[in-house]
Amino acid sequence: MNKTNFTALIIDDEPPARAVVRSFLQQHPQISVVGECGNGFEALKSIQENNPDILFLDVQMPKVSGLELLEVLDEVPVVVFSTAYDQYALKAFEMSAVDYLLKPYSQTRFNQAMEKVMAQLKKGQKTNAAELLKNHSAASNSLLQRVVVKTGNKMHVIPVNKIRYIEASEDYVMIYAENSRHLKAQTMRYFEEHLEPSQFVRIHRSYIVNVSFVERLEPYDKDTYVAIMTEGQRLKISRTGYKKLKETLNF
Amino acid sequence: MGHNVDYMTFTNNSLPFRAAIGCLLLILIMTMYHFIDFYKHLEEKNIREEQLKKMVKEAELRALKAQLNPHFLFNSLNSISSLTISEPDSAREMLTQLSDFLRYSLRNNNESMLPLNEEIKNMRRYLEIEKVRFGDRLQCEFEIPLECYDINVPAMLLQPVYENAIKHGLYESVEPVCIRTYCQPRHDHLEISIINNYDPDSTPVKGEGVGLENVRNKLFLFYNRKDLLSITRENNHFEVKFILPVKQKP
Repeated sequence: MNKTNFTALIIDDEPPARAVVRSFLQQHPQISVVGECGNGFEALKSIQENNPDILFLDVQMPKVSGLELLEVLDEVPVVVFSTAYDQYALKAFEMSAVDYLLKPYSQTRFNQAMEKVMAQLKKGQKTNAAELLKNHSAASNSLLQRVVVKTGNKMHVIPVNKIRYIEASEDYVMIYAENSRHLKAQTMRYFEEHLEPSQFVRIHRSYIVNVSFVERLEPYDKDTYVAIMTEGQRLKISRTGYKKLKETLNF
Repeated sequence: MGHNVDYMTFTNNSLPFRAAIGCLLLILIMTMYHFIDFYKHLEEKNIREEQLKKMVKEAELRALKAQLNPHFLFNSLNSISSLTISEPDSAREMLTQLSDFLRYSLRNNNESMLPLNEEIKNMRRYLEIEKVRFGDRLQCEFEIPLECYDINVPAMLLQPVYENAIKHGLYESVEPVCIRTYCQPRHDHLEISIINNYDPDSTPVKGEGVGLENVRNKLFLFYNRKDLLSITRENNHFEVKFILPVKQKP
């Protein structure tokens, strides 16, 4: 099957920026625009409904950035990124050899990007979001302020101080927030490295806890302990975990 | 014993002489002390002045960098690019506004005072540009009585406050954000209040406080006071309030 017509979704929080894409797309009649979205929440809904082949995605958006949106997509289509100036995103794009448009851009530059997109679509290739996101977190090298998760069809933004603990769950992690829990495709190691170390401690192969939610420690057997969380959960502490906890909490 | 008498006579006779020497020594020590003290003060004063100069320079540089905020600049240019396709007249209008805004910022980046009206006009330009970018998501209200127009305020004083409101209010909110400005003349001071609503659920972005710290420094340089700025956060509204002393015109 050789598809020749494709669908696209335009995601940018600035209406004039969306208008540019729409207008430049007039030279590409094989692509039809299925919608425009002003933020990540609308975008997720539209992606689930329309399943577009191409995303025109701005990096900087309120509450959920373009890259954070990619984190929660089950399947990432071909993405054309745009940004005015975001040094970490730019670095990540270059590391991952992903094409991007620097605002403001010309029709010629846009057409070049579209050529690459068409080649990718014809070969059935998608944007390698996993690699891009990995490079982005390496480039920014800063601690997380929030975690974006998807539960059912809805996206949630969890500020890190609302995370109680994180549990390993095969290829995923389960994030226990104040009143909810969310599965996310991410590694324990990633969270261990990107959460504030004075607040989050890896107490066990399977657990990272937010020390503000640890009520007390109880002996488990001869020389191991369990952490009792403020809502009563009992989390095993390994010997190295106990040492780390001791250093962090100074007891 | 005679030896002792000689010694006592000598001691008694030389008393005024010895007292004089003692006094001289005391005076010498005191003078030296004062000299050292004076010198130390001078050095401290020099260091302080040096620091102040450095602070002013840094503040200027920061202000310049803020005006050339690449996010603002390139996104504005992108909006203009968009308007050239659909509404060329509006594109020209926005280009003029952006130029005027940048020119004002560059020209008034010194320690001058300017009438409030000029400052507000420039801030309106800035907000108009942001309005083109964000459409209905940004709303602005100004309530400035005519008698405030000619009161002099430090140039470029208000910009970091509006920039904060945009950066932390508008950029991080999915809902519309309204920035309201109220001015009130009092008998010996001018009150300026800038209020914006914000999304309480949004995670704070980096850089909070740097802009307002600059404003505080500026106020200190101009008025030598640290109590002219107050910040309140209430019911999802962020308010920055200035109380600016008004220098009476002769």
